[in-house]
Amino acid sequence: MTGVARKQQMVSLNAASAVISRIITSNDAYAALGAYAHADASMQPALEKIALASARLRLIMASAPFAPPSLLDRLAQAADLQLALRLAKNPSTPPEGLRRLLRGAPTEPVRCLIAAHPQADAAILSGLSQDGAIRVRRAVSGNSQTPATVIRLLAQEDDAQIARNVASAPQADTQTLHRLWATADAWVRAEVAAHPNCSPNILAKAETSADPLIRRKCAANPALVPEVLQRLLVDPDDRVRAAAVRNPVVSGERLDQAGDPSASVRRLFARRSRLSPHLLARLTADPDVWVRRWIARNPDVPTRLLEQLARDTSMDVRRGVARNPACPAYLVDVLAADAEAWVRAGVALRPDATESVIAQLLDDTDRDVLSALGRNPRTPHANLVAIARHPDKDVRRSVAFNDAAPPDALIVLLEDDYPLNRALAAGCPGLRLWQIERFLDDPEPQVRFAAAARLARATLTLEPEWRS
Amino acid sequence: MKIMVAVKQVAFLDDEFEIRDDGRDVGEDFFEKDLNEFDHFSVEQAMLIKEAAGGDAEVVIVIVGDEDADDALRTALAKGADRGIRVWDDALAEADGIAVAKVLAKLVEREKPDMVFTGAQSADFGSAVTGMALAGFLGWPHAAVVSNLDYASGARTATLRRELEGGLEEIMTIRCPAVLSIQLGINQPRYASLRGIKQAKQKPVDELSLDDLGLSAAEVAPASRVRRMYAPERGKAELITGSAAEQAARLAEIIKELRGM
Repeated sequence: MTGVARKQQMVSLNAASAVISRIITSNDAYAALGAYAHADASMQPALEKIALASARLRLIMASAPFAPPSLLDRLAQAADLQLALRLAKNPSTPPEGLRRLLRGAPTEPVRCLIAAHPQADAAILSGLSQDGAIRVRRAVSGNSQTPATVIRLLAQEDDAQIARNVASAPQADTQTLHRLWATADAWVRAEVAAHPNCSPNILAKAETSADPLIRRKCAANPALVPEVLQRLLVDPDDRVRAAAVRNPVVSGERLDQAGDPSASVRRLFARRSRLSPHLLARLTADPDVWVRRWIARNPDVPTRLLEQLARDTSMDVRRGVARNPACPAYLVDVLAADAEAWVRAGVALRPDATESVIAQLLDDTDRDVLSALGRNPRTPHANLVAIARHPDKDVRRSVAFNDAAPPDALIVLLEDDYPLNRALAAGCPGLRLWQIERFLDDPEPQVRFAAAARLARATLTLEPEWRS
Repeated sequence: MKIMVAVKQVAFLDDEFEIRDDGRDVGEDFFEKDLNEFDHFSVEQAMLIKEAAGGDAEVVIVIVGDEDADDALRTALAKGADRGIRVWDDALAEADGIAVAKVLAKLVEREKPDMVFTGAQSADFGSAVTGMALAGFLGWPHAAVVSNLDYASGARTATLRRELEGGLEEIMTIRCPAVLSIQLGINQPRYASLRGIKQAKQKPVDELSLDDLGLSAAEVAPASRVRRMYAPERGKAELITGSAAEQAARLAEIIKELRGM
């Protein structure tokens, strides 16, 4: 490490230490929680003591998905029934915390929650697959993390729900799926037909099954060969054709069923990319407004068709054109003067809107248009300050989502009456850290949390302000 | 001109909770306390009248509750009300709506407001009784579930609209002073500004006991008593999706399961 880098690190550590010390002095649970994940290990115990000071706070933290995993693991070390329930439900509880809960001989509902938990690892799931309670084993079978060996064992259970879960488990192997196909349950066979590990032999049977449910699931299978999918694209059942259109196996260029009698199937065509020119033209003239709405947003649509859609009687279709990244500048100009505010708001969201278009829209009084301008990085800073002062709290909030918002506009939001606006502003990178620091005293917990997290993270990542 | 607004601090339950050992309420670790949602609307209505009067009106927030209830009281004060009164005595620990109304009636005698607002009901117990019982004790005109109000500061009557069953609405004129219980949606409650929140900490709040109001513990003894609180057993529910044929097949499957076929 160079001398300069060492000096920077020292400055950072001192600044971090000062921020964390201030949070500790404030004795505020939410600020402590915000800073915890970014604090030095030596300071975490003091923050932990504040964040978990009462039984009520421990319950709140245990169910908070934004709580740091290490804090949740700490809570799992001495979890009673109510804490265990919350921790087992919390998607942020780490695998180690789940293991601790299991060591405490939890109740069946808690074991079910752990078995379904997205962070349960192979060892946890393998252990729970031996559980005496069928509900727990069902939850294991439905967990996408369950390993192939466990899936294979569970497939032998005589339980309809487990069979269905296993048939749709990502790790189910070809052999297991083959055995499940042999069962009489149409629901299980349908899941098998949709599985990418399903054998070609089964897919061939599924494709010609008399049951539309099985053909529909088969049509959704990403392992299908294009020839099979082409046949399913002309299936007599609407839902089968719809599933086939959604399947990315067939390239858009090979799709040519725009004359499909079902509008819901044509809507799916309109959402596909790389469609052929004549298919795009037919969809543009489709009688169904939803088909035209989707095709208006399709970036493959050529300019002459976008012109046609920009004159559509439906404002939602015109809005689609305004949101289409391929919309040419002259059409954007036309749509910026549309009679419907919803269309103008679509233009106001465009990151490529010209200065003159932005200037024209800034005269608008509609809340959707102004909210869109508040988010647009091309809106002039002075106007963003004005939008941050708008009487409507939702319009004001849009500025917090603008990465180019200047500190002047964000400072206005930091004084906002609406707590969510202050919380979002406190997390914005455009603000100087000294401006955020005073929000450690904000009356709203979510604002204090956001401010503490932002400050602690900034000190940890050596943001320039801390270096001087 | 003075408007008194009676507010309540209510409990918001967690998803998971435990009943207290005595089986009569939820354990206090399992809920958050906050200002009753209906009271945001009644406070706002009072503030609108005050502002229309150019500030020539006083809004007094009253609450029956222990020190914890100060948070709800200050929340209402932060919206611009002038002062607050909190009444507490251990004898009020199990007070029902009638007992609270008796306390409020004494406060009305003391404060002599021109109008009293309450929320249409409390979000936790939902008895919807306090406002109407208060009017009964006072012998004042009253209207419940008020969804629109035309009242100017100091006026001798108010015109209001009430929601009735069957989608009907009723427009009535009421003699003032009166007790009105305010329905959700009558206005758009404001958020307290940061300045308002800071100022609320400095606003005067009288803390009164039953003695101060000339009430005895026996007079506020609850007329009702919770014997037991419990969560009834829930039935199972499943969202059935798919085509009509698939839904019918699943329904048949469930019926077979339930009948053990």
